[in-house]
Amino acid sequence: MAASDPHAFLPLPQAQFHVLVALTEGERHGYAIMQAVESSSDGVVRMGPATLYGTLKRLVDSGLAEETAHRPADDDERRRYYRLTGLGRRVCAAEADRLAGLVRIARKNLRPGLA
Amino acid sequence: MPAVRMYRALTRLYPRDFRARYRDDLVQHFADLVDDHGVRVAWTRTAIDLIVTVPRYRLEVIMNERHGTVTLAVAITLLAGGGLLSVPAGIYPGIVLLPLAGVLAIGQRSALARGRLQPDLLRVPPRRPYLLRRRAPHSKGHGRVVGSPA
Repeated sequence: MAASDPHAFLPLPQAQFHVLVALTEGERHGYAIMQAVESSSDGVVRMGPATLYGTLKRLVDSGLAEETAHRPADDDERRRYYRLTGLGRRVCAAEADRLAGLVRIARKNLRPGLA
Repeated sequence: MPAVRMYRALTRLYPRDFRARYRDDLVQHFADLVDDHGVRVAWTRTAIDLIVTVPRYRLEVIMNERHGTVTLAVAITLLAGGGLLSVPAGIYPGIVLLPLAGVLAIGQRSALARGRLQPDLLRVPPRRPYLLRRRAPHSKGHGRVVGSPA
């Protein structure tokens, strides 16, 4: 299976999925990604610095995310910004579909009358 | 700020490659945590992160393709043997070598499963030179075809 096939990356580790989801809203630097993950999970998921950058390293190395050359004028120019690649967006969507399918099955099995 | 300086020093625990690429980002991230949440919260979060990620990233370096399975098997055997012998020798703290050997063995197994390691039996140099090719850039996995020059 070619690496450009989004399904070749599934299932995604939880940290990678959270970071990809945070990047679907646009380019972000590391600390902003952590804040987005924490906010979207209602504080349940908290990523430490090395966990975050280790995850970003994997995503960049596997072609799911990339650093941008763009630096906002109002921000520290030393910060590195990251964005999703096309492949990263497809992988994120495929993982969301996979999880949605799992949830659907779980709900159906747990509450047959409500499915 | 002393806390940030201390964290910068602690980042030396990470593997060299990771440190070279992300040290400034890690330190900036920690400084942001201190600014937003205070020193205590920053350390609480970062201490757990350090405890989890330092051995993990170090282990990943050990598991990379530069190490053969025989080297790792010898290391695992020595660690397990040392752990077992430490008990009759009365060196009880040496027992920690056993779980370490277990972690290494599990890591080796998963690295093999992911194709990051090749069994040493397959490392015999191929007779036909045309096999010595780099993997195509789009192919999955890391590293080169078995037997390719370093």
